[in-house]
Amino acid sequence: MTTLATAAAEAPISVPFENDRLAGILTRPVADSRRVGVIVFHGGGDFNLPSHRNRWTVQLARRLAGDGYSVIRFGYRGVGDSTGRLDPHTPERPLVDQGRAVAGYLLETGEVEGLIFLGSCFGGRNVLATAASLPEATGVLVASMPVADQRQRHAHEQSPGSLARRALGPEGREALRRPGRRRRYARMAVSMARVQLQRLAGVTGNDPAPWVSAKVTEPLARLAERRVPVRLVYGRDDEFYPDFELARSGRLGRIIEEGGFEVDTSYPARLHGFPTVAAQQHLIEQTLAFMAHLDARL
Amino acid sequence: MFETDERAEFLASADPTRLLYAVTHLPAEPARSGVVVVSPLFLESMQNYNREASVGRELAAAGYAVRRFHPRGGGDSDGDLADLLHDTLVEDAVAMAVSLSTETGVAVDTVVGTRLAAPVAAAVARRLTAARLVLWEPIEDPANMIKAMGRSRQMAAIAGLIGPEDRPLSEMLAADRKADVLGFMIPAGYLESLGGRTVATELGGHRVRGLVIAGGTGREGRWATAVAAGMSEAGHPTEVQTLATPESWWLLAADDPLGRRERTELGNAVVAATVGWLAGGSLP
Repeated sequence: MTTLATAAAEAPISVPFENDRLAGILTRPVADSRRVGVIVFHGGGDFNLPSHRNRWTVQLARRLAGDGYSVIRFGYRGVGDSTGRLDPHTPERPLVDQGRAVAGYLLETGEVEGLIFLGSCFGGRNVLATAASLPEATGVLVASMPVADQRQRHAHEQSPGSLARRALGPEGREALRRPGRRRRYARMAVSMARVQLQRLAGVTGNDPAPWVSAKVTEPLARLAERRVPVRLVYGRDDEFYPDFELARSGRLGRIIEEGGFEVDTSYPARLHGFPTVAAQQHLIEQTLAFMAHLDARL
Repeated sequence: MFETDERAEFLASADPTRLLYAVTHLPAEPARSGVVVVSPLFLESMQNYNREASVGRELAAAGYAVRRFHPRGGGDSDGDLADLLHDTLVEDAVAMAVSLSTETGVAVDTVVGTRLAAPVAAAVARRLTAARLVLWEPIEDPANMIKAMGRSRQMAAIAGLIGPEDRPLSEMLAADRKADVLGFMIPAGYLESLGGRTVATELGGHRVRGLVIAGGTGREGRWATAVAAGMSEAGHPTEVQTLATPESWWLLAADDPLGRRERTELGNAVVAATVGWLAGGSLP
């Protein structure tokens, strides 16, 4: 029976990041150390905390420490006890530097050699970007992660004519007076032009989900190349699940296959945001199963 | 404004086998006095966290020593949520305040509490003989909290975040002794431990000067102003500051950028009102 760690095995950490510091908790192993670190990334928004809803990540960290792992849960800049102003939590701009800062901190303790990354939703994007950039990454689990690049999706699903009509309509003309909205329209126009060129060049082919974000496919492809085990977990009521299923029949699916990645979609309800205790328990169980899988590979 | 120091650590609770996660904010100069912050619970603890961190930093910059903490069974602390009771919350807050006083050499003369932590904050103020009590949108009747949580569940069900409700929350708590409310397993024992406690009863004969911040003039704002009225009637001079928000701040959507901006502005207003009142207020 695994011993659960308590706060006696934990220490608050403060990781310097630019002019701020990222606050988190390091849970040290209470069993023989595996010399493997686990870093838990929370989702986006200022409501999320490193301990997450119902502190399910605290339960997870203490359980993993009982299995010999060193675990860090931390808050992004401006979240929880981390200082500074909240960065935009935009899936297309993952907080890779913050992830790398925390990973570097854990590696510098000299207590771990390999790193496993866990994250959900926006945290999943941060996990992919961070893990793909670090040779020490030995495993990745992401849950309820959005796979679509929304701007790309609009560029694929709308015609240039509809964008022009919207921009020239009364609401569009009003919006275009604001510099921020003008920039958005301009970026969308550029994306649409790129899509049209790709179509002409036949680049997108028959991919049913040509809007899958490069911030998903590129890091996953790098992890596949390095044979880093990855598990992708979705609840069947997650709003991102239909996109994921569609994308699996295209390029994303090929990457998943090439990497030998695992996919779990067994949870029958919503996992995203962990709005029920059952959803939290499912991810804890998925994580423990993934750890056992990694252990068996070794 | 003072230079400040901020430190997170694990400290012993009233039960020495359970450690509590605590954050201490200190001014660089000797502190004017001490403040302990008693957090709300469950989902509201997440919603309020950044405001509490801000008020800790701002009060330290104004010369106060401030301690925030996660109670037993909550956040990063030890313990089990199922064991949560009004009395354990009071004991934990008192332990945190006493250790802050010992460390800094100044008395904790102010207690800040939010929502259902209001009666806890009042009990702590009495135990510490604190002079000031600041309450952010207080609720003192657990039945009101159950109503608020029930509404949150209904809204989540309508939004498809959780399955439809099969029973009212009050029935679930009575029958199962616990209920999953948006991912928090609320123990019925905790709500029962609040029975009959109000801010005024918890203050008892101890006199304080109070500040109540009400989030708008809607139902939840009215609950807050009723708490303030009860305090004043019981002999605790209490000022009410009502935030200009059409909807309770707890209900502003997490994912909506407009809601986020509005929440930030409201959070800034709450912090500014608290710091302004404490820094400018006189002791009774």
